Amino acid sequence: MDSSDHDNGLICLKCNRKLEEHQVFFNYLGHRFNTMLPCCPQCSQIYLSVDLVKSKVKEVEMTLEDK
Amino acid sequence: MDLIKLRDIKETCIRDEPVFCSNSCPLGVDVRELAARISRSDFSGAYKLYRKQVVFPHIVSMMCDEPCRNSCIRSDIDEPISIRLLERSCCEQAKKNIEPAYYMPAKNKVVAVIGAGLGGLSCAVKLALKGYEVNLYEKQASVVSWLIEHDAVNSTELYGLDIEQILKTENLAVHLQKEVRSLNHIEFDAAYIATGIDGRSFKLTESFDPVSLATAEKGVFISGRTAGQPEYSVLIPLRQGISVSQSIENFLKTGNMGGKAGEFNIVPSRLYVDTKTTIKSAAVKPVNKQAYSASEAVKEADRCLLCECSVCINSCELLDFYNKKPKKIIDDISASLNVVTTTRVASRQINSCNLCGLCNVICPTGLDFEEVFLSSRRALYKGGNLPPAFHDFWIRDMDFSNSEEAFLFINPPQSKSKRYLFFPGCQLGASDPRYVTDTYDYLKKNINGSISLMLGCCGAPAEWAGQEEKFTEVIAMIREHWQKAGCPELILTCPTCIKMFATYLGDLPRHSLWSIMGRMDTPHKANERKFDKFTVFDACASRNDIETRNSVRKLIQNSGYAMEELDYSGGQAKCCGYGGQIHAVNPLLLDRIVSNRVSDSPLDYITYCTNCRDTFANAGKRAFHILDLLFRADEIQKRALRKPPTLTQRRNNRRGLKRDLLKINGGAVMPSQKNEFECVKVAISEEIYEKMDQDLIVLEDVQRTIHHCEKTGEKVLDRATGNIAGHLQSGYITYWVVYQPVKDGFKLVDVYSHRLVIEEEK
Repeated sequence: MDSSDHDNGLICLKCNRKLEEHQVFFNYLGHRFNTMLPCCPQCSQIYLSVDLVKSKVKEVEMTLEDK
Repeated sequence: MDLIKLRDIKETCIRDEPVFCSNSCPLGVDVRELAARISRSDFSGAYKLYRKQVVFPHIVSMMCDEPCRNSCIRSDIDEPISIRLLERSCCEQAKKNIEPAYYMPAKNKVVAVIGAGLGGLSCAVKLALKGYEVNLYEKQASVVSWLIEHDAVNSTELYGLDIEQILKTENLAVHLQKEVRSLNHIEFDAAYIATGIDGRSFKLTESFDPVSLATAEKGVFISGRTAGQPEYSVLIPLRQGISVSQSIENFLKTGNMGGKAGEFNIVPSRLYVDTKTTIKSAAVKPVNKQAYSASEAVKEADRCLLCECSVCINSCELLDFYNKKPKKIIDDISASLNVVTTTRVASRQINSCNLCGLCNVICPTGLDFEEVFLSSRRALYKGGNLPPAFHDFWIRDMDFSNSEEAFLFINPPQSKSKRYLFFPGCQLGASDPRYVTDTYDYLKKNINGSISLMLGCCGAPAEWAGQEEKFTEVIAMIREHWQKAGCPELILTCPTCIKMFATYLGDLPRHSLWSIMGRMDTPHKANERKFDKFTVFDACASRNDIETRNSVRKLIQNSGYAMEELDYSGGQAKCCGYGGQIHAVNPLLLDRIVSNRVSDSPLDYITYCTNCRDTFANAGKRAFHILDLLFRADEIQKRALRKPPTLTQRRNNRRGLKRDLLKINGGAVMPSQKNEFECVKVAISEEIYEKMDQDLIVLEDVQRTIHHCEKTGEKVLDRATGNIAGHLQSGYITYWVVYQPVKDGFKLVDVYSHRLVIEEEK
C-alpha cells in the first residue's frame, strides 16, 4: 500500500496537506539514524506522538548515552 | 582524573582481600563458599568443592589441625566457626556419585614419586589425572601407612572412601613394598621424593631449595619434610604435593626447575567485616559428640559471617543499583575516560552519583567515590563526552538565578563598623520567599552591624556538571560582589553553599545562619501545646560541618521541641536524592533513593536544607524546614504539609522575591526586556504541571514553543481530537506542545520533550 494512501488524520496547518509517512533523519551524540514518520509532503514538517517519544525515542536516547 | 590515579584508588578497595580462614589454610579451602553451600543444604556441592581442594576429603576432615580456627572473625565475638566439623559433615551427608573422569591424552612422560604419604600420593594422583605415567613407590605394605600407624586416621572405612578410589586412577602404578635405594635404579623424566622425616633423601638435601622444593638433580624435587624443614601444619605435605605436581608439569613442558611449591607465607588480610550488628551465638555442639547431623551442620554454617566487605554497597543506593564491585566500577570508569576507546559505558553511572561523600566516611580505607565521580564528570565534559542533557536543566536554572531576573545585590551604606553579607542561596527563596525575608528581617533587627544581601546561586550545578570554567566564573562573581560590599563576614544558610564556600572561597570570613541564631535568643519558644516529636534529617553537605549540625540541634532544643536521631545522622548522613542533580540522568534511581529516605522513620522530618524538605514533601512525607519552626511555629502543622512549588513557581518565587526586596529597600525593579513569547497566555492544569516537573519543563518552555508554532504556522492538526501539535528545539532539548486555542490564549493538553535532534530542512 502506498503510504500516502494511509490517512493518519494529521494535517499540516501551514500547507493544508495531509501528513504522510516519510523518512526522517535524527542525530544525537554524534550518531545519525532515520525512521519513517508522519511528515508534510510540502514543507517536511513532522509529527512525533507522545507515545513514540516516551517509548522508542527514550530507548534510543538511553542506548546512545550508555554507548 | 588520570588513569594512573584511578588505578591507585582502585587498589585501596579491600573487598577482594582473602577471607581470614582461607588465608590461614595451607590448602586455601574456600570456607566461605563451603559454608554458603551447606547453609542451603547443598552438601553434595560443598563436598565437590572441598574434595577438589584437599584431594582426600575424609582424611583431611578427620586429621586437620585447624589453623583456620584462630583466624575466624567470630573468635572475637563468641566462638569460631567449627569449620572442620562442617567439612566432615559434607563428606558424610553428600551423595557421592561417581563422576566420569575427563579424558586426558597420554603425555608420554614418566614421573616417579617416592613415598606414598599424603604428599607423595597427592602429587602422584594429580599428575596421573593429567595424563602422565606415574610410578608411585612405597617401601611399606600400604599407602598412607604413617597415618594408620600413628592412629591419625583410625578408620579403615575412611581409608577405603578416599584412597581406594584414588588408587584406581588411570596412569597411576603403585609399587608397594618397593624401597628405592638409588635414583639410578628407576626410570623417570621427573621425580618427587616424599619419603618423610626419616626417609631417604638420596643426598639431595644440600642442594634443596626451600622455595621451589627443587634439587640440583634435573627434574627432581624433594619434600620439605624429607629435607628436614619444620612444618606449620599437618596439611603442609599435602600442600607441597599438590603444588609440586604443577612445578613438575612445568618442568616437563619447559625444562625449567622453578615454582613456589615450598612457600607458604601468610600475608595478613586487609579485609574489613562489619560485625556491629552481628548477633552472638555459640557454636553448635554435635549431639553425638563426633559429627554434625545435617540440620546441625546447616545451623552452624548459618553462623558463618561469609566475610566480605560490603559497607559501601550496603550504604549507597547507586552502588547497589549498578550491582558492581567497586573495582569493576573503577575499571568501567577508566574505560569511559580512556581517550583511545570510544565506549563510555560508565557515563550514566558517573552522573548518577549524589556526590554526598558517605562512601569516603564509611569505607575502611576511605575510597572516595565522590571525588572519583566528580573528577570523571570534569574529564568527560572536557572531552566533549558528557551528554549535555544530563545537567542542562540545572545549569539553566543556575543561569536564571544569577540573571537579571533573579539576582539581587543590596548593599546599604555601611553605617556600622561590623559588616555582614547575607547569602541565602538560590533555592531557599525559590521554595518560599518568606524564608529569605523573615531571616533578613531577623538579622537586621538582631545583629549589630550593617547587613548587605546577595540573592544568587553559589555555582553548585556547574560544579556537579563538571563544568569547571563556568563554576570558576560564578565563584569569581561572588568574590567580586563580596569585595564591593567591603569584604564583610558572610552569613550562609544552605548546606551546599556552605560546602562550596568552604572549598572554593575558604579565605572569606563566614558563618552559618544556624550558628549565629544558636548564639541568640530563639525567635520562637514553643507554647504549651508541643508539636509531636520529630527527627532531624541532616544534610549530606553538612557531613563535615559539625558546627552547623550542633547549632541546628541547639536551636531545636531551645525551641522546646522533642526530637529523635535517625540511624545515619551526623557524619553518616545520607543524601535526600537531590545532590549531584541526578534527576535527568537516572530518574529510577532517584525515585528509589527518595522512597528509601522517606520510609526511614515514621516521624516528621525537620531539615535545614530546603532541597531536602521539598524533595520529601514532594514524595508526600511530612517535612518542614527549621525556619518554619523558628518563624512560622504557629502554623507548623500546615507548614509540614506544604506542597512544594512547581519548577515554574520556583522561578516566579525568585522573580517575586527580588521585586519585593527591592521595593522594601527603596529600589525599583528595572522592567527587564520581556521576551515576546512570555506574553503568550497558557492555561495549564495542576496535573500537567506535575508532569512538567517530572520531565524538567517550565512554563517558558511551553510559551516559547506555542509562540513559535503560532508565529510560523508550523503546527499540525490532529483531526481526531481537534488538538494542535508543534515543536521547537531550544538548546539541547526539543519541546512538543499539544494545545487548543481558547478565548484569550491557549489551553495546554500535553507537553513532552526529547534529546534527539530532528534534522529539519528550513
